[in-house]
Amino acid sequence: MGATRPRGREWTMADHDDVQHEVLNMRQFEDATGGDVELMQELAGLYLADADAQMPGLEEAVVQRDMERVSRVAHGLKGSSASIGADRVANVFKIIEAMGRDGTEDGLDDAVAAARDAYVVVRERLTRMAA
Amino acid sequence: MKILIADDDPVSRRLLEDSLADLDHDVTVVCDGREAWSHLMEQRYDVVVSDWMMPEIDGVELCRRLRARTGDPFCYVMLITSRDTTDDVVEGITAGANDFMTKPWKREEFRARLCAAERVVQLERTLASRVAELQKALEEVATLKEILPICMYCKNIRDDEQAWQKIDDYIQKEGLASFTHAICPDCYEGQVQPMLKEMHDRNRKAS
Repeated sequence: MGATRPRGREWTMADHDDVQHEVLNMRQFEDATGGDVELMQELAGLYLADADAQMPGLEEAVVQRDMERVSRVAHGLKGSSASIGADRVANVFKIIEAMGRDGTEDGLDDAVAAARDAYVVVRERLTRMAA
Repeated sequence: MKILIADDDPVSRRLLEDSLADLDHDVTVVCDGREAWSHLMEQRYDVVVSDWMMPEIDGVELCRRLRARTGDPFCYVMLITSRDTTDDVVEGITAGANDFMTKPWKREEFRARLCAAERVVQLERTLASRVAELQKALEEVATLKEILPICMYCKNIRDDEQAWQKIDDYIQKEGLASFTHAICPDCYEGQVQPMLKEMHDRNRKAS
């Protein structure tokens, strides 16, 4: 499992590549929604609208090194991502949240880049679902 | 049950709301802790389902505020969060939460936990009703203790030390009232007038 941030060294993309979580864990999504397809589509739309609005705030907080805000925004994105089964991006947000909480700046930019990449992938999947 | 859902995450909020849609509950959904607190100040809820991390008033603070209000009817609080360490659970429960569910959660798990909440709410209602009955019974016992034995003929009162006293002495001694003596019309006619007439007759004979 590559779910935890390595201690004592910088975050690298290799750590992200180690993450074994699914882009979209459909079992979790179905468990949360009772398999209601219309609800899943509605939630996909809600998630994308919210995450699209939150991502610039996260990137801005990272640039400003506002670690409290980094942690708070990443926490919110982690929760909503996990709720719909977007496990991979949720896991990266979890790591960013911990870095924000611990004040760890080393590797933060790479972690956010990894989150951006993971979000692009899940965004594509969910956009198709919501359509 | 009357249920209040508080969550600033639109996805989680919609999921929680939908999970309760086919159950026979009166559900109110709010977007943050401040709005939740304002609802809780205005009306009574049986269950509060709250996210932990919310701006301004978070779920734990909401719990603390609820539990600080004494005399309110019981309210079951379920915290929902992606914080999942033992310390988090301890902090949530210590703040007054009755249950703790971590994200991501499953619909069936949430509904099962809500059934448990309903059982606890029902038990608390029964308990509150029994306490009210007991309170009423205690008040009746206190009233019975205040019933005084009174002589059917002379109307003297028997006090706690088993001594018989005149009713006016007893009342005055107990500090229940003070008296000023007077004569009522019936006693004037039945007691005083015959006595005055007898005195008058006696004086007339003597003269």
